[in-house]
Formats: sequence, structure tokens, C-alpha cells
Amino acid sequence: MNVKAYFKAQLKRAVRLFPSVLLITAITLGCVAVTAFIITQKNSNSEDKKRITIGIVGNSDDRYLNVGIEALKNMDDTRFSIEFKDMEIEEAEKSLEKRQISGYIYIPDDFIDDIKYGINTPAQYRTLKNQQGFSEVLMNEVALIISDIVTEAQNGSYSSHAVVEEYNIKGATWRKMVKLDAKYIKYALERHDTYKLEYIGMKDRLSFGGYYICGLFVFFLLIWGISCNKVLAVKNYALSRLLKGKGIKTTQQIFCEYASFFIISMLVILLLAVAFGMACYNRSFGIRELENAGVITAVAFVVKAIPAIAMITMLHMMVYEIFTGTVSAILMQFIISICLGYISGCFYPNSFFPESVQTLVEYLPSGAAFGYIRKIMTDVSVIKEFAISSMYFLLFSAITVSVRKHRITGDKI
Amino acid sequence: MNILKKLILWNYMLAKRLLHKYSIIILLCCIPLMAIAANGLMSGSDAGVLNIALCSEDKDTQAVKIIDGLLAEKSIIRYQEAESVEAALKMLENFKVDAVWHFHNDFDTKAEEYVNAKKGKPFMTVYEREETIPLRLSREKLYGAVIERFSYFIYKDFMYEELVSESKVSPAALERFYDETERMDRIVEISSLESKGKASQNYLTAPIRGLLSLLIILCGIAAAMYYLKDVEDGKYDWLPRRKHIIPAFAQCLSAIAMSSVAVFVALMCMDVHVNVFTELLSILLFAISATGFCLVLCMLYKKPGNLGATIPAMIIAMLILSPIFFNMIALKPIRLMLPTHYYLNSIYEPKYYLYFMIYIFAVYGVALLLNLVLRSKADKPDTL
Repeated sequence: MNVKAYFKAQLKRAVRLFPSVLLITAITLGCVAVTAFIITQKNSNSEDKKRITIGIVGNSDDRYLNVGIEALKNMDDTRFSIEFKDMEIEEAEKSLEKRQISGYIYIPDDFIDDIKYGINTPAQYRTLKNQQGFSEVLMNEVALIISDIVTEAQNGSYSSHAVVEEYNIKGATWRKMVKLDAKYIKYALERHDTYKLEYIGMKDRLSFGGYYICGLFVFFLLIWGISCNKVLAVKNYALSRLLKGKGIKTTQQIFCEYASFFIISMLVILLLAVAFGMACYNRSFGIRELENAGVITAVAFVVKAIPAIAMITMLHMMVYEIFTGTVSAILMQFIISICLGYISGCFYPNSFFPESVQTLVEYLPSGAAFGYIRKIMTDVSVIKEFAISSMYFLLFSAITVSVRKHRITGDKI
Repeated sequence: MNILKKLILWNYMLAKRLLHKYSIIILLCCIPLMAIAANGLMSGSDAGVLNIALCSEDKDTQAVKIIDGLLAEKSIIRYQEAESVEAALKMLENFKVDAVWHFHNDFDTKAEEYVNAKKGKPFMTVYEREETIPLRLSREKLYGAVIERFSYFIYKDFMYEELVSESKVSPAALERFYDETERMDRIVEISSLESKGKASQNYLTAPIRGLLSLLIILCGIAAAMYYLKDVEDGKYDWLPRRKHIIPAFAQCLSAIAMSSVAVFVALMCMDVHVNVFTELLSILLFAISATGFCLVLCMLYKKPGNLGATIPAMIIAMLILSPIFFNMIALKPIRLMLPTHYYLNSIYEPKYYLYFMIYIFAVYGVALLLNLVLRSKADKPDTL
């Protein structure tokens, strides 16, 4: 028996177990995929993403009021966060009571006429006490900002009239003076241009959905070892001792077993990537990173992720080598996966840990793998994560080899 | 009575035996750690507050005035000042704030240049992680903070463009007129009305309690796996196969009983618990039902490895289908098969105790039926 023959034997054994491993993996991945889908759906349907609805109760015959309301509905930036609905007072009160609307604006009949004569008869923004939802409560403050925008514009307008009067400026015709009001309206409608808006993403510039795809992919890799217990859990130290006697060193044995396990793992993951790529073709599920994604993108992603996959698969091998009983190994795998996944932020950004812990996590195997996966998704440099993953791969390999050596040289099997 | 004594003795011995397995010890130790971790997770997500960091590059007077104004303001948004843009962005990356408002240097000059150029370069930058409605609305507050100064620049630009020259009316005079003109009354006022009805309550998901209940199930599954290993090793060969259900029951019950006690204590030490009687009754019924659930798994599986391989899928399925993080309406038949569904609902809705009892009878019935169908081989004399 030589190394090549032993590797072939291990590969045959792994291939024989491949269908059952694939079946269990598909079931597990199905559950993980459903979780990812629910999380992203929950996020896109969450209170934070839904527009709030506000009723408008006013004199629908007033031309100026109608123009103003139409401008608010169709031209102003608030149309992306607020849906304005025209209502009668009774309908508005009922809808407010049933919490179908967050509030309603009651515009008095003489609102526009009074403004023409320089009197501000305020419109009322009516809400319920003890509002649910942060956005509804914030709307109270926004309503006052809208009032300030109008009163500052009025101040500018009246100040200009005061200057004209004081300095007896000729040529201050009505047409000219109205230009100031038009300027104020223009700048108010274009107020979003006064600031530049930049999105930094959840982490490494990933969107919410992209972050969770990476997180759950890493979690799947962490629990992958449990599905492979049939491949990894069976240990025959008598055979190992015999092989060592025949000249196949412990390191070579581990390499052969790991190589066959890694090949099977990559085969399964690539098959699942193809399936995922086909599912994503022409469909992004509202996730920016999945736009224009297909089979080739998914396969390329898996190929780029090989260092992280190699490190985590070696971790699985090490766990099964240390914990010899099937039950102990599976339970320890599960506990390690949950703990590492949690602390690395696979389920939820780990921002509430102290900064020192967050920095430490980047150097844990799962943290390095998660960082690596996130960065390949956004095409950012992965030198640090690659180095850490490689270091852990070598460390886990060394531990696996030394544990095996200890077991086959000791009296206990 | 003899049988009862034997069962109690079995339970005690199996519990002692289980405590020799370090994986069970680790699982039990995970219970308080999980409680602390889940508590941290929930308190970390401060959903009802928006935190915004404010920063200005060169401590421009006008920008400082705006920042001070926002910090002093009474608002539902929490403002905090950052030393620099880099520090503010670090806070944003670490989820310490939800947005950063950066006022560029020479704020006044740039704001005026913006107006003079008829829409020049932006003079502020807003950094966010992702778009949400509250953050969109909060940007109105940003404009509101600069509107007084900005409005003055619009007026000034208009005056010099259309009506006067600087030599006739100086900028200082223009500004004086603007400041001295009496401000009009507010054009919008807030009116809060009393609600006639009760606020509709969103269904409460129970993350901490749910995660702890999953740990109990996991302990039960671990015990089930050890039982299957014992059967594989021939430890129960002296017992007729149809009576293997007894050690299976005792093993699962001992692990679940220990973990249930630990979870009960953890819940009592935290804010999430309701009254003691409800907690005690619910966890007692959960322990019994979870034992039955694990007993069914013992009857269905022959090898511990096969059961172990399905642990992730089972736990994830329970996580999705039980009201832990999500309140799912779909897949009701599967939800009804899970003991966590009854446990988490029974805390707030007493009618679930009745459903709980029905579930317990059903699950033990299924376990006995499976035992009868799959394990009935009278090849050993009855020695119990």
C-alpha cells in the first residue's frame, strides 16, 4: 500500500457516502436558505422600510392648496418616505383611530387666504398620543421643520420688501418679487442636493441582504462537519498503526483523508452553488449583490472562497480527531459552530460587543473566514484574512496530525 | 410501587451517567451563557432610537453653532458630537450611531457659494449604512438645522442679483434687515389626540426564552444520541426490544429535566419572566413534551450519527417556525408538531395549556405506536 492507493481508497469511501451527505446537506441548506430569505424579507417589509401614511383634510376647491398638495405628493422628496392621502375629516379620524394612518393634516378653510394677507393660521398635524413606531413620532418634529421652511421663506420675502421700502428701490415689480418666492420653492424641493449621501453598507460596504448571505454561508460551512459525520467520525486506529508500519506516515494519512473529504466538500458546495446560481438568474431577491448573478458568478465565488473553505474543513477534521465518540464530536461541532457563528456576527452584527472583543474576533477562525467571504463579495483586498486563514489551516493540520500520532502510538485506541 | 422506584433509580443513574459526558456539561453551561448572550443581543438592538453623530472638520463657527443647536435640542433623535469624520465613520461601522452628518469646512462660504452658483457643490455629507424611512425623515431635521442660514443666503443672492448692488446696500445692512424682520407664527402646529381604543399589540416574539427552549431540546437530542449509541454498543441487549423505550424515555427525561431546571433558574434571574406559577407550569409541560418529542426521535432513528446529522436542520426549522425571532403564519402542520410552539405561546395565552396537554398525549401516543410497529421483537425474556 502506498500513499496514492490509500488516497484512492479514502476517496472511494467518501464518494460512496456522497449521496447521503448531499441529501442531508440539501435539507440543512434548505433550512438555512429559508432563514436567509425570511430575514431579508422581514428587513425589506420592516417598519423601517415602509412609508408612513398621512391624511390631508382640507378645502379641495382651493386651487393654490391643490397645487401645493400635488407638489408635495409628486415632486417633493418626502414622497419616498410619506404617502399623502386626501380624506374627509370623519374618514381621517376613523383611520387614525384604527392606526391605518400615522396622522392627518387638518388645513383650515381660510388657510391660503390668511397667508395672502400675511397671517399664518396654522394647519394642524393631528396624531394620537402614545404612537407606536419611531417614524410616526419623528413625523411630529418633521412637521415643525416644514413649518420652519415656510416661515423662513416668508421672512426672506418680507425682508426683501422692507429693504425695497427703506431704500426706495425702483424696478421692484411684482414679477421680480415673485421670483424670490419661486427661488425658495425651488431650493426647498431640491433640499436633498445640499448634502452628499453615502452608504457604507452593513460591513465592508455590503447591503443587509449581502451581509446575511455571507453570514449564513459561513454558518453553513461551520455546521457542514455535522452532515459529514459518516465520512469523518469513523476512526480505525489499528489500520492507522498498520499503515504507519507499512511506510505511510501519519501526516500522509491525514493528508489523504483530508484531501478526499475536501474534494467531496467542494463537489457538494459547487453543486449547491450551481443550484443557487440558477435560482438567482434574472432574480436578485431585492439584494444588491445578487443583481446580474448567475451560475458562473456563484461558482466563481465558491472558487475564490477556497481558502476559507479549506480552513473550516480542516477545523472539522481536527474536531473529529480530538473527540473520538460520534455523539461527542457532533455535539461539540454544533456548540462550536453556534458559538463561533454568534461571536463572529453571522446571525447579527456583533457591534454590541466591546471593541476589543470585535478586534479579537477578526483573528478567530470564523471571524477571519467571515471577513474573507465578505471581502471577496465586495472585491476588496483580502490579504490579512487570507494570511490568518492559512495560518489556522496549518495550525489545525498540525494539531490533527499530533493527535493522531498520539492515539496510534499510545495504548488506547 | 416497585416499578416506580426502579424508574426513579434508573433516572438517577442515567442522570449521573450523563453528567460524566463533557458534552452534556458544556451544553448545561451554555444555558446561562446563552441567556447572557441573548440578553446582549436584544439590548444591543435599540430599535426605538436613532443615533446620529455630528462632525465638522475645522471647527467653523457657523457649523459649531448648528451642531450646538442640535445637541441642545430636545428630540427623539440622539445627537452626539464626534472628534473627526474618521471617528464618526468608525462609530457608524461599529453600529454605535445610525448616521453621520458632516458639515464641511468653511460652511458659511460653501453654503453661500451653493446658492450663488444656482446649485453648486453640496456643503454637507450624510453617511448611512443603508436607507431606511426613519433616516430619510431625519434628513429633514438636517435641513431644518441649516434652513435659517440657508434662507438668508437665498434672500441675499436674490437681492444682489435682481434689485440692488453691494455699494447701495451693504451685506451687513441686508443681514440686519433679515434678522430684524419679525418672524411669522408657525404654519403647522401639533395636536395629540387621546385614543379611544387600545393600541393593537404586535405579537411578542420571545427570543431569549425561545433560544433557551431550543437548548433544552438540544440536551434531549444529545441524550437520545447517547441512548442510540448505547443500543449500538449492546448495552440494552438484556432488555426486550419493545422495552427499549423505557431507558430511552429515562435518558431523555434526565437530560431534559436537568436542562429545564437550569433554564427555569436563568429565566427567573432575568427580566423576561412572567409570574412564577406560569413559568413553572409551562416549563414542566415543556419538559414532558420535549421528552416525548425526543422519544419519537429515538424510535425513528437507528444510528446516532444519522440523528446527529439532522440536528442543524431540526434546530433551524424550530428557530424559524417557533415564535422566537419571527412570527410565522405559514406551515402550520409542522409548527403544531414542535413542542416549542406550545411552550412559547402558553406563556401569554392560557388556552395553549389545553393544546399542550393534547400535544403531550399525541406525541407519547406516536412514540408508543412507533415502538410497537418498529421495535416489537420478543427475543429476550422480560427481566425488568
